[in-house]
Amino acid sequence: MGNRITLTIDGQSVSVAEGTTVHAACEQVDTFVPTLCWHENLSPANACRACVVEVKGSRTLVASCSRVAEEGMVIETSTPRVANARRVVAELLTSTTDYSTAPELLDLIEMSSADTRRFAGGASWEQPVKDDNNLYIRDLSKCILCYRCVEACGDDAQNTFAITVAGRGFDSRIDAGFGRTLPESDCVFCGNCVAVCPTGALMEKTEWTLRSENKWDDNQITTTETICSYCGVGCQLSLHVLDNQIVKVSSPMDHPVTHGMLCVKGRYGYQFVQVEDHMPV
Amino acid sequence: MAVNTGMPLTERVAAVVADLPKDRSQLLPTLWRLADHFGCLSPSLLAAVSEVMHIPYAEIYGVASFYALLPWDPGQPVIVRVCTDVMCSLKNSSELPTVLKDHEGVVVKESPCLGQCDLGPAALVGSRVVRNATPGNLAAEIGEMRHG
Amino acid sequence: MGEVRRLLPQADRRSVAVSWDRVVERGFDKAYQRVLDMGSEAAIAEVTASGIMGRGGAAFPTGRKWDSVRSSPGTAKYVVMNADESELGTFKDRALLEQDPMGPLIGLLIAAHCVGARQAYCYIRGEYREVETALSQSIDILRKKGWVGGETVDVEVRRGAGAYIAGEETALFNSIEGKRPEPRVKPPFPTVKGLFGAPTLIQNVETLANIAVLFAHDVAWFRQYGTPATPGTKLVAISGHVNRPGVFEVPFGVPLQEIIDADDLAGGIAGTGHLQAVLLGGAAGTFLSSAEVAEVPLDYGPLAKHGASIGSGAVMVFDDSVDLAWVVTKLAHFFADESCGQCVPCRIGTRRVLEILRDGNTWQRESDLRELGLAMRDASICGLGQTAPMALLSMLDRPYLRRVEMKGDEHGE
Repeated sequence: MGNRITLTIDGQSVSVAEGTTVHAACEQVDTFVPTLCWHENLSPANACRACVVEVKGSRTLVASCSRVAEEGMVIETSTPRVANARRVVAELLTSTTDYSTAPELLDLIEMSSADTRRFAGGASWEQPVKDDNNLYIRDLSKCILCYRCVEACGDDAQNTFAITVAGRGFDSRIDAGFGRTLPESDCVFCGNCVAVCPTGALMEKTEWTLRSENKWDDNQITTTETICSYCGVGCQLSLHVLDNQIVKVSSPMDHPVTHGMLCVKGRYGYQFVQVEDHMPV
Repeated sequence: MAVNTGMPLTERVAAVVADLPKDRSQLLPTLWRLADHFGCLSPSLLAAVSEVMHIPYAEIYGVASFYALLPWDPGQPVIVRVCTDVMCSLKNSSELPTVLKDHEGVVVKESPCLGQCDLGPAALVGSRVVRNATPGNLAAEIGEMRHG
Repeated sequence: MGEVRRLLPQADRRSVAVSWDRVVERGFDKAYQRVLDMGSEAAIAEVTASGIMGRGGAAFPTGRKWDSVRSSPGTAKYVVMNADESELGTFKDRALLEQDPMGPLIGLLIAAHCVGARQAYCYIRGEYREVETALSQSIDILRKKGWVGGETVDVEVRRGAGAYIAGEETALFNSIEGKRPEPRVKPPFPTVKGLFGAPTLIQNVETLANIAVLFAHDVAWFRQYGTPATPGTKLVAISGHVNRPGVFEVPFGVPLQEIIDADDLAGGIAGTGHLQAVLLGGAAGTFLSSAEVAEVPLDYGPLAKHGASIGSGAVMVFDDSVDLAWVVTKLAHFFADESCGQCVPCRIGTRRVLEILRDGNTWQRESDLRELGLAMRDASICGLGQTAPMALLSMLDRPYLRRVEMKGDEHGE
């Protein structure tokens, strides 16, 4: 065990291992700090700013997801400045994007008492759904530009680099290059971008279709754990089953082999299971 | 630089940037070199850069699409950037784009502050700065750019 | 006191700007030799003793920064001249590089020697192509003299491509590295982890020119001008309603009013002849009313009492015909165009500010604008988003600048 350091969070003294982030330190004392772009298996993007806290001596607020805790740090997680920043972040995002399938953002709206209409009425991200392949759809009206998909496609997981953030400012967007379709791009359809998307902007086509037909019901879905049978790596699969049909495959984010990431076969190659009855024995 | 125009694009690109190291940190100098050589950038040029420099296509696009000065207009027009920021606007620079739009082969864009506020209104004709810009001296500079 | 000429060469100079003769005439050859003779530690001590602070806007003590880079572990270190001058209303680095490019370059070589860097970059905005050429030619002259390249330090000129944010130091590193010029989160600071992850010293053009003139003379000479807290001279870029817009070198502590009025400086108010306000420090600056202008000197301490700072050295002067709401709308347009888009408060906030101002709802939505502005200031990743609402907030804080009757759109937009 490495060195430990002591800091103060909302008046409470906390001892954590050196290298722990401020956000993780807050978790240790059950102090909830909201996050949107942060993901346990990806590099912090520092983009959403929902996780900002006040650090004594710092001119600006500090993103707790990436800031490493230091000895003697004094952290406040719910000052008026923090509350205003969180609230405005929620209001700005909701003025721009369709947040109907974004659970963390919905929580943030509630906890920050955001007025979702305050900054609405201006430019928005509303745009047609991109339905260019059989495996997943891109509804970028729901995108909050959290960078997770780009990181998962890049060196945080897949190393394919098929998508990027392009343009700048309000016109920044996730793009495969000149707006080309995914089949035209370097995409290998591992679906790891879909697995980490926090807003439903990226969604498996099966789920998206069922949702649009009002047939998707989280309460009716059961999950069965298994090991992928395609190769010898041993990826754990969670089979999401609705009405006796597999409707989605994921892998637990804390699984030591996958860290939630799969390949195209593991994630999307499940149709054969459902036609088993018709196969010769 | 003499580059055989009959060659495949990737080879032409490789020839144009032959002296530049094939290192990620040379991406922007490479894009500038190609913009100057070919007149503008394009999807096929970026694909060639991707092959020559071994950088993913999407990443090159992500970088190239960030910068406002990189040219994308085909047909090699003269690009005129008129500063319409605070100080040049006070000197009525916002009227200049209207006057210039009748010039054939000229693309007029509004620009943020060009750092010439003491000598405004200012404009860039191609890469040349025009201070105390008027329809007259801009037309002269455009003519020179095209013929000289 | 009027104009001083130290960073800018004297009017009776004999040599041309881009020449070895200029290096000699300005005493920069002796300056560089003096640093080589005294050694890095003594030289850094002299920089610290001079009291030079960064001239790019942040005013960080230069000697301390050099110490930090020098003592940071790492074999590869870099120095960078930040000539990506893109702040609205700012053109002092352009004027300096046009008139005396050798000064900042010698400052860069001295800096590289002191912190132990073998590679230097000059990052210059893509709109300054003529200046870039002069800079490259100047480097070639130094290369021929053996001061650049080989066993010393190599210097590479990097051309920006139209992105204000690339002037932010960590965004500039990303730009050099061939990545999107999005600012990085700090800490780690550039002195520890900068360009290519190595300890990096990045300085504004004017700061490096100060270094050259310091070592061409000495600390006592350097501190003859300025205030005890802020020694030396400052380049200010004055534009707008004055009779002689331009770049002037003045001692720190000079009254702001004198800069505007003196015959050998801006030469008095033009336009209607009545000063309404000054926007000090560029688009990210602060409005000062005519009454405030009359009482403040050009120095960080006294200006801070008015919530203002010298910033980039831009002094934008407005007579009483200008609708300041129009000005802040222009500034909002600038920031919305130049935001990198990385973080929510800046990406969407700059757009919403622009929309509210453009709709003419500035005063009706004052509290929304204030809360939005504070969130941007508090929660944005970098200086762009943090300072984008400053001019607007400073106007809201000075309700007497509000027009009783909005005159409408006399300047368009």
